[in-house]
Order: sequence, then C-alpha cells, then structure tokens
Amino acid sequence: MKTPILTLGLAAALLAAGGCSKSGEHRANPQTPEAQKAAGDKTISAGLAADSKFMAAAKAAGLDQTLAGAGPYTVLVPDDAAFGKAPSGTFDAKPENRAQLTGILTNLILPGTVMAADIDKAIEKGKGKAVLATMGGGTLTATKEGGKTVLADSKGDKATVTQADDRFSNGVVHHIDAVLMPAKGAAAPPAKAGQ
Amino acid sequence: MTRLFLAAGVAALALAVPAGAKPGGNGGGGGHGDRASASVQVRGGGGGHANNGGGFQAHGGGGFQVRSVERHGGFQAHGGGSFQTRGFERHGGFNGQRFAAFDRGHGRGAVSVEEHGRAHANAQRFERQQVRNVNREQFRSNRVQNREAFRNELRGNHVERVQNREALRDQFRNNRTEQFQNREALREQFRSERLARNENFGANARGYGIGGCPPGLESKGCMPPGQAAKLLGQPVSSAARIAALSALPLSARYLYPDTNDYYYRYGDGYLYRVNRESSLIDSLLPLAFGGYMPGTYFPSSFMNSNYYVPDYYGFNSFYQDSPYTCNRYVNGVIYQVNCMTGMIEDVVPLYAGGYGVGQLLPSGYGYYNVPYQYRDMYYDTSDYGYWYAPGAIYQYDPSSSMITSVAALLSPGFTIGQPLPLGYDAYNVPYAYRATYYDTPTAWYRYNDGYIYQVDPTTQLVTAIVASILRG
Repeated sequence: MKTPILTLGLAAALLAAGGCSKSGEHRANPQTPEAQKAAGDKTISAGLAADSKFMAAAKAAGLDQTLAGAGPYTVLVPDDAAFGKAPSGTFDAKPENRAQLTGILTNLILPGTVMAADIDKAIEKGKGKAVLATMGGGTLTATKEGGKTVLADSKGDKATVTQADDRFSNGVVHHIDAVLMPAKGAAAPPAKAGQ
Repeated sequence: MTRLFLAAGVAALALAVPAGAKPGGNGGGGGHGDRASASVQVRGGGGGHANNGGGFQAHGGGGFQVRSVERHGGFQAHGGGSFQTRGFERHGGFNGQRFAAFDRGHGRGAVSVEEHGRAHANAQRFERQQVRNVNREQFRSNRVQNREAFRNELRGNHVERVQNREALRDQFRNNRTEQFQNREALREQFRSERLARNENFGANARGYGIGGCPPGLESKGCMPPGQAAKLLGQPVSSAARIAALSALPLSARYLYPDTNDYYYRYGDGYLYRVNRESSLIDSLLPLAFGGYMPGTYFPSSFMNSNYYVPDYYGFNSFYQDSPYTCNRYVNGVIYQVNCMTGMIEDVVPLYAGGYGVGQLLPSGYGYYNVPYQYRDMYYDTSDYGYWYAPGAIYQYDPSSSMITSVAALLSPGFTIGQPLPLGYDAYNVPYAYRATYYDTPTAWYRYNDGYIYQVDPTTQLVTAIVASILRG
C-alpha cells in the first residue's frame, strides 16, 4: 500500500518541480506580453485588496486573471460586509460552487469604462432610469435616490454606490453596499456540479 | 440331264458370287467362270485390297478390319457328299441365306463337281466364321469386362474422390476454425493492447473526457461516468490502475488547492479528491458542469421549445441546430443532443451560466477561434492556448485542455446597422479615447468588445466602427 502512494507522491513532486520553471512566472503573469502591455501598470486585479472577499471570490472563479487583462471593464465591488449578508454558501470557494460564483461575479462586471458621471447622465437622459448591460448577459437598472446612485438587479434588490470611480489601467471600479444577483434561469443560473 | 444341272449350278453360282462380293464393296470382280472364287468379307469399306489370286492379305487403307481372308488354290473337284449348311444359316447374313437357298436347291439330288467344291469352301468358311464368332464373343466379353472394370474403377475413383473431397472439407473446416480462433485471439490481444493504451493515455487525454463518453470515444481516453463513480471510496492506488492520474497543471492548481486533509488528482476528465489519512478517494468531481453527461439520454421533457438555446450573446447562432444535432439549454448548460436517439453528445456549459476555469474544453471546440480583434493579444503559446465561446475568451492549459483562466469577458457584439442593444445607455468609452470620442447631439460613442462604435442618437442605430482599441 505504501509503495504506490510513495511512487505517486514522487511522481507528483517531479511533476511539480518540472512545472515550476515553466509556469511559476506565468502564474504571476499569465497573460501574453501584449495583453499585459494593454492593461498598463496597475490593473483592477492588482488594485483591489488581495484579501478582500470580492478578490477571493474572483480568484475562486478564475476571474482574477480576467481583471488583470486588457479589458476595459467596469466592476461593481460589494464591500466585505455585503458578502456577509448574502445567503450562506453563496460565495463558497468550493469547486462545485464555481459555476454559481462565476454567474454572480460576471453580473457585476460591465463592458467598457462607465464612470459615475456617465451613469448619472444616462439616468438624466433616460428620465430617471438607465439600463446597464452586464458581462453575465443580464442587465442592471440605475436610478438616483437621495443624490446617490442606486443599482437594482432583475429581482429588484438594490445596492447603493458608496465609492465611485476608482480608476485603473484596464477599467474602473465602483464600490457598492450589497450583492446584486443575476436573474435565475436566464443570465447565470447556478449549474449543478456532479459529485 | 447333267447339262441341265450344270447350267443351273453355274447360274446359281453366278448369282451367288456377285451377291457375295457385293457387301464387301469390292469383291474384286467376283468369281469368273472357274478360275477362282474368293470369298472375301471386308468389314468396313472404302479401302481397296489386293487380290492376287494366290491369296491375299487385305489391308484396309482406311483403318478397317479384315475379318477373314479366304484363299483357294483354285477349284478342285472334290469328292461328292453333301453337306450341311446350318452354320451358314446361323449367321443370318446374306451369305447364309443365299447358300441356304442354294443348298435347298441341290440337297435333293446329286451335286456337281463345282457344287461340291463350293460346299467345301463353304464348310471352311463356316469354321472360320465360327472362329470369328468365338473371337467376337471373346472380344465382346473382354470389352464388357473391360468396360465393367473401367466402370468399377471409375466408381472406385469416384468414391475415392468423394472421400478425398470430404477429407479436404474437413481439413478446410478445421483450418477455418483454427483461423477463427486465431482471429479471436488476435482481437483479444488488440483489445487488451488498446485498453492498456487507454490507461496510459489518460494523463494526456485531450478534448473529451468531460465527465462522460459518447459512444466510440472511450478509446480517446475518456472514462464513462459509471466506471468513475465506482472509484469512490476506493484507494487512490486502484484508481491509478484505471485512470492515469496526475497532479493538476500548476496553472490550475490554485483552483483546487490541496489542504492538510486532502489533495487532488486529475485524470480522464475527473478530479479525484484523496483523503491524506486514509488514501481513499472521498470525492469525485466531473470537470464539467451540468446535470447530464455525454453518452446518457437527455430527458425528453427538455426537448420542447422552452429549452431552445437563448438568443442573448448570440448563443443560438453560435450553437446552431443541425438536422442531426439538437441544442437545448437547461440551467446554463447547452446540451448537444442527437435528434434521433436523444443521446447527449456534448455538454457545453456557457460562461454566463457557469462555464469557467477548472473545466475541460468541450472536445468539439478545441480549435483556435479567438475573435479577430483579440488575436494580437491572445494567441496560442507553448504554455497557454486561447479559446473563444460566447461571453469570454478562455485561457487553457494545452497539455490537459483544462481551462485555467478567463482571459477576457466579452459582451454580445455590435454589428453595423443594428439598433443599440439594451443596456448601453451610459457612455463607456475607455479613458484614452474619451478626448476623441465623446457624445454629441449628433453622434454617440459606445465601447464594445475591443471596438468603439458610433451610434446615431435619434435612430439609436449603430452606424460605424470608429476605433479598435486593441489594435491601436
């Protein structure tokens, strides 16, 4: 019994050692040089606190690399407290949960660079309402409430922009105080992972 | 009186001889007067023969047989006496009858010298005839015997041949059985070799192996779901015999991090979580999401139009139905189903619905298909490959086909002339281009998937691409 395990362990160690020289540096900078150049010095991925719950979730979903890419993206980042308010298990980093996680996060990413002022203008033009498309395939609705920009998901749950316009080389970040969920069955339904 | 008899005898002879010679075809002129009387019977005709008076041998020029040759040294008057002509009659031939008539004619009275001589000749002829008959009988019996013998021999040969044939058949049958057995043995060998190859192949399995095997793909390093499920609770060493397990690619390891309690192994489209303490596989994770696996039957309740592939992101045009393939969308996953059999051929989880890192690329889409404007930025290298599906460009590990990262998120593209899609109310042009492309009463600008588009504010139609920010 011991021998096969030892062999397996040895093989794994060899594999790991062999892989180090090759992908060690790539893990840090997995993009092609052109993609890195386009993203500039400080990307959204690098700019957000690495220990934040959002970045942990993004990493679990493999989106940290996306946010280190060329973009540009507009990212709505719920603060850590907002993550705590979400139903338990929503942001579990387990592989089985990755599909759901990915669906939630892509619903918080918008194409292009949308500044707070741009949203406000759109709300004005839209007679109090602006619809924003997300990368998850759904939409969010922006309104103004008490001088603050409020975003609502398809269910009507709302989040207020608490800190706007954090600029990065590949986009912009707005911090919000709640997690907005994607529409079920359409944009990002949680897919079951077989066990 | 004597003269009268003589005249009658001569007349009779004159009648008899030409008649006797006639059947031979060339009686040689027959007897003339008293000179000679040669009774020559020639069987078969055509050939000439010599008649030299003193006796002759007739040889058929044409291959006929001369049965007998009679030679008379001339006519001698022999002493009287009558004679019987039975022998002649027995022949039933022309001679016998002629002679019989003649005998009857003279049997009643005295016989002249000539007659007597003729009778003598006839007697000799009779003897020869008998000899000939004996010869004939013998020949006949010989011939019959020979024929019988030949027939028997033939029959014997025939029996022998049949026996030989049977033997040959048996031999052939035996050979065939042997060949068949050999073939079976070869097949078995081939099968086992292939099986062995598969076991070794798992580590490098590309393409399929996303949790199930459509028919025919087992040989490509894919393990059917049922077989993989049996490994739950088994020692990791037993799984290693069935699926070549390896550590995760380094680039994907962060997605399935090892802990103090367990570690992950990967092989044949499955992720195995191994309990460090017991070395038992305590969890099995197909590297594909969705409730149904390729090679299983798709529930018919999902085949109706409620489950057509949605049109957002252009999914329905990217995953088009064919006469043979029906695409259905359930819970964020596109199932490519064989329209005829209802068998799931491929599972394509969409990114928006959970397609993502740690999964394997669908086998049918393992080619480079990154949109044109992104190709300068995301191109295949020895370490990474890039693959596009609606919603994203994926980066994957070429050795395992495992998606290691989402290189770029994409939104449904714009096309010139189409109405501005819902959700682009807000200006979203990247910083670097804002000084150039800002909204005016006559033109709006919107960013989408690497391009800046111009939009007519009045009609809300996309009118032009004005810049490609990725290509400079």
